[in-house]
Amino acid sequence: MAKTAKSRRKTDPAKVPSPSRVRVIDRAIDILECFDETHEKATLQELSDRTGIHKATALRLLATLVDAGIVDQPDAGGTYELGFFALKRADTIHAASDIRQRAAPIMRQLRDELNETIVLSIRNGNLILNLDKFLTRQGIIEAPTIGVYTPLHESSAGLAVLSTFNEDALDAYMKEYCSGMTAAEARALRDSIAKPPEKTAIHNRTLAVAIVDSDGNAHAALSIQIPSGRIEPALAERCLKGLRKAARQLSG
Amino acid sequence: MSYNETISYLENLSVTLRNVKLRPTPVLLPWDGVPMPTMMGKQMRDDIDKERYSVEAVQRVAQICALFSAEHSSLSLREIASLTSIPVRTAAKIVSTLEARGLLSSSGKSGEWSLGPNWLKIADYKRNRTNIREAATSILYSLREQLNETFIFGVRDGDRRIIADCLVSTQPIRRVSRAGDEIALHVGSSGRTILAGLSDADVSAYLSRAKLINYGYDTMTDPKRIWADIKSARRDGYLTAQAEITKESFSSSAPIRSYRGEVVAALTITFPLSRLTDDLRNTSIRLVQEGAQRISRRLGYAPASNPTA
Repeated sequence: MAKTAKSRRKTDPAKVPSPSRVRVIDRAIDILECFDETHEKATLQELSDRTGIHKATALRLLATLVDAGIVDQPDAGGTYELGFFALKRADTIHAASDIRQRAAPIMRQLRDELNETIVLSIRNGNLILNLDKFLTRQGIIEAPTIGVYTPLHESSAGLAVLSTFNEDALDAYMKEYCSGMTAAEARALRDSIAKPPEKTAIHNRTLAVAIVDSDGNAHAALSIQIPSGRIEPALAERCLKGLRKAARQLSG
Repeated sequence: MSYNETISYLENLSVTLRNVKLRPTPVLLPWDGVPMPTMMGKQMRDDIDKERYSVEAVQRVAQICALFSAEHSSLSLREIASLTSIPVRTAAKIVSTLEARGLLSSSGKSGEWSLGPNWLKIADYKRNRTNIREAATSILYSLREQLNETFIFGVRDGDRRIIADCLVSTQPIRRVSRAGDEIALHVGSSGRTILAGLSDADVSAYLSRAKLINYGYDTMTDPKRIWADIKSARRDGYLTAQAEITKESFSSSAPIRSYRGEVVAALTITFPLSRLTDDLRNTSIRLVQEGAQRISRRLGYAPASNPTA
């Protein structure tokens, strides 16, 4: 297990050691990143195994992380879990985002109306990231991934942004990001960008509408992802209508 | 020199050194007649230095990331260095490490940094897994071992207080309650404790839209009385009530706060009025406050003393 962790560190460019970086901080973040959706709690031994960091070093790093509130250890000597530090940082990111501040009440209202999960994504160049979500109160949810950048064409929200591009901009984007695609794949992608969302909704289950600023730049998008068990045309229609209205309120 | 004397000697020494801003150099100290260098070789001192360094570097990550706020969402390297008293060269290395790992990113403004998207991802994992009821349940059990009365964990849902969990006393005569029961926020000590956590403007807005009618036996319906109760809850950190919903009951409640510091729930201890004595009243108030603080800590609430947490 330690071996795989080490080899992964070598291949992941974010984890390649460099003289301009602080190695001990990289290691602390390796530990922090052991906690995710499927690894809610972990013992010292598990964290040491998963990161390949010696137990004694891991213990010191964990003590510091716990002290800072980044990691939590509810019972002395017990398992570790994520602390609340990240939640406060996420609150700061949200509070500093103008579009998120404006969108939050609108998203909450839309969620209450439709009882489906509403996601706000923001664009950074040719990448897009899910910034925030308002979860449905229904029992079955499709949890969106928050805080990870993906190229525009790999997410529905990004496709909604791409659909606002003119032909030249789209050509340039395809050249830069989709050069590895076969001709058929590239054609399929262009088709899906050109199609209005209601045509693709039933198939993809995700509806997305771009938010456009006063210069005509699509800088964000709102989307709804409907679990397959619930999807039907009337619901998709209602969601799309709600998304369009919300995006109009936030555009310009 | 005894162990304690040595420790206090060392503490005094480091205070003196800090005051005169000297760089502490290895000091020879007698320790039961054994000179210090024998006890602490060079390797050992190096190890301690290294350990101190590694811990410090991670502490600095927390310190740097906690600098950012809604008002100061982007900072230059110089600002980061001067606000944390970290040398610029060290700060640059830390910042570039954090950037590579998505915990900081260069902001729109050139040369400025802001919090990176990885915090959103980690926060989302934490949020998906933080269950307010789960945080409370085990604490309710340990509280009932100390006082065999009924414990109620009420959370706010809009203008209502919902019982998310409750643990009923095992005494033959007891106050009973059910998870899922809900009632307007201004009714009972639990709801009013939550109400007291709102801003004055939000309380006023609530009182103007809520129907202030008698819900049970002797519900507070006079806004003046409700305001007085809210003020005492804010001042004392607890609230008591009696015979409001159920004629024969007494209850005391304390606020439960989230990591944001906002009141999200209330813990209540309730029992039949016939058992009420000064002693039981005081015990229930002490326990309810202790319990609420324990649950708050599980929800990440840290009283203001720790600025980075």
